[in-house]
Amino acid sequence: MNRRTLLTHGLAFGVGAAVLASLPLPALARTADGDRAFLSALLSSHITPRIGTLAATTAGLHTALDRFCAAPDAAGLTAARAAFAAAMDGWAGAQHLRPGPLLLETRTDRFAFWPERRNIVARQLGQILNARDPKLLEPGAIAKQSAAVQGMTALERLLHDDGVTAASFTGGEAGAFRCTLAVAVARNAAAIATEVRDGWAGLAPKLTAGEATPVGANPTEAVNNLYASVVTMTQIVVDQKLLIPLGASAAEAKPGLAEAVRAGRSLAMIAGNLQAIRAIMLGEAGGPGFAALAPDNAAGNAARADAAKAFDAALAAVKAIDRPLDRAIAETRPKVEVAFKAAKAAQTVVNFTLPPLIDVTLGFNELDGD
Amino acid sequence: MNSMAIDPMATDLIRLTRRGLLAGAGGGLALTLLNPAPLRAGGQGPLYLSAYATAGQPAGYGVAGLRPDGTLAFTRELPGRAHAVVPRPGAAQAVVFARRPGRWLAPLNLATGALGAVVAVPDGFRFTGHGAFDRDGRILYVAEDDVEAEAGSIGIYDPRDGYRRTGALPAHGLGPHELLALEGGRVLVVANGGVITHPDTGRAKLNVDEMDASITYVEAATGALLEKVRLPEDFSNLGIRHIAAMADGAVAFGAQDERPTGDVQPLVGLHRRGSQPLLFDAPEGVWARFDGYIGSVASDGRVVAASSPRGGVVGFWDGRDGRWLGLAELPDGCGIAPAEGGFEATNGLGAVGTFTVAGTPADPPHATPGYRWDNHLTPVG
Repeated sequence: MNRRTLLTHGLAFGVGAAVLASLPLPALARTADGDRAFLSALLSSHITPRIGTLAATTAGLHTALDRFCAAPDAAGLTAARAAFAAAMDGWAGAQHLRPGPLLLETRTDRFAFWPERRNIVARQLGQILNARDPKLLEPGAIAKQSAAVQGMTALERLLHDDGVTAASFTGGEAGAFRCTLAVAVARNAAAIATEVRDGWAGLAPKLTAGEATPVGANPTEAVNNLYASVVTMTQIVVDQKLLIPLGASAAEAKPGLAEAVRAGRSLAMIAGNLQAIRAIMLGEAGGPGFAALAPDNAAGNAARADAAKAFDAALAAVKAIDRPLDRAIAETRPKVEVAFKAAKAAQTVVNFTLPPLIDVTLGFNELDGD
Repeated sequence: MNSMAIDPMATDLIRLTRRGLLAGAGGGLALTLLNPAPLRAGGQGPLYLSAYATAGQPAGYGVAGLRPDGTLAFTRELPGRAHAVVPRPGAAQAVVFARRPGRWLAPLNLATGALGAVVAVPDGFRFTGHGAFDRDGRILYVAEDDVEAEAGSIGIYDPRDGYRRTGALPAHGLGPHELLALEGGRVLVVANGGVITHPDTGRAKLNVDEMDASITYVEAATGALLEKVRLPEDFSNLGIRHIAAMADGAVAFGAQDERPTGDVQPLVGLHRRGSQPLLFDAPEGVWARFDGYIGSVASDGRVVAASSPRGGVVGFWDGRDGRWLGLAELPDGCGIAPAEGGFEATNGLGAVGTFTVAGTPADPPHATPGYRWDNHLTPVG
């Protein structure tokens, strides 16, 4: 049986240089050096700050829970929930950066187990809360558990489940265990976010130097993989986060399947994702977005304008929903439909408008699992 | 979940192939490989079947009969995106399976290209996209997910009675995908990817950290488990999703890395009943080119071919001794089937080409403008 070999070993070169060389291609707008410079700028303006925010807000959540559990009271629970919301916002702002550290070691699933398998988070948490095994509270123990109980989705249950108040974290062994478990899960989530931050910090010099990394075998592949990740993230927002709870009709709506529904953060997550995708498409903090790779001509300018317009409209439509997503689906369904259509229009820009202008080809056969 | 693509609602475009391959092609996803010959009228040679999407927006879906020279014997629109197409022995008929989570299958008349009555998946089940006939074409076995039980199932359908479902057997594995009939249909072999999905959450993978891939051999008459094999612990991240039967009774398999660690692993191998599975070797650096993903496996009985649409490559091995034979380059290439002089391969950019087992194109690949060939290519007869 062959043993695994290290990735860097075999990643020397991407596919098809010979084939590409034999193709009668027009001059490409993108070059390896250009892609390297783009990655370098994107790291400074977008990736490093957003991954940094994810790590900082998750560390803040750990601190807040630690403080809350020292003397649980209503004000402390409010602060802990605010810290949870901030960490979820950090996640929404970084979740689209999938290639590299987040994809490795099942970190995405371990950080946030959503969508979940048939109520498995509640089931597994219930077992843990009943068993009250003190070994589980020891450092590093949560990391060895099922992904379902390792991160934010489990914390949401602990902090926001029906009937949870400050009293749920006091009053004897059960309450104390719940609180200490929440601290342990938050510590684990913070550790995962720190690994992601450190992973990117380690990658950055290699990416900037044009070397092979888990993000891509070369600068061009890295840019393409990051764009693919935006395509995937946009699809998750449209299909998973909006369409599945919304359903094709009111009768088919499944509002309970919305993300972070117990914390009332479904729309905040969607808005955070859309803002992040807008930022990586159009740039932020003085840095470039993918649209900057489009040519400086009428077609490029039109695409940039289309992208800005589509994402602004989608964000505005999400913000126009004036109550939590699960309630809005039942009470003001047309507003949610407008938001879904606006997000779908933004997806069209991501999937169809920009790719041909930035030398990106979207494949057909590369979907997972078929 | 961390799966790269969720796609519950038939959004088709995911991940990238090499940049620039279509540069200048405008909106038409025409062909890009080498110097394609134009689509020819008429056409000769053996018939292959494949699902497709049209290149326009929004995409249309269908199934086609195509030939190695790039001609189309027929095309037929379908209710949605399909996956495998399996010919029925002894009849000018095939069955088309919906892509997972599949809600339908449909018989296809190979003489006319006409579609028969669509068969809906039973309540509480979903098709996974593959199935197999027994030797006489009298029974169709279909890979299914039993949704609430979170268990793999093999539906039994009667082709002589409008493909009525007459029963089911356990797959004895999680997340069944491709299934084949061996020994004329006495034994069914199932590639169980090991990953649980649910119709409520589309294609999202719900148990990647605890996935349990296997190959199971099931006695068709009784449903009894004859043998179940898993890869060693070091390879428990590999979902075994595609298989091909070898002439000597062995089963070739291809896998997908569901839980990337940053390591490069072999993804293709062979299993012989009663033995441990064997993973194939490849020359230095080659496994990395498969990008952790095998989309289709085919065999002519002796040679194993495995495609990676993500990596844009097809690898060939001698199934008798696992010897590496060669690598073909085909961007977004996935459909693969034995052919005269090697293997026929198709891609999502509309190419149809024959490759020798050394990996070289036997002829310049042909263009089929307007068609994006889907994951699987099946020879008729």
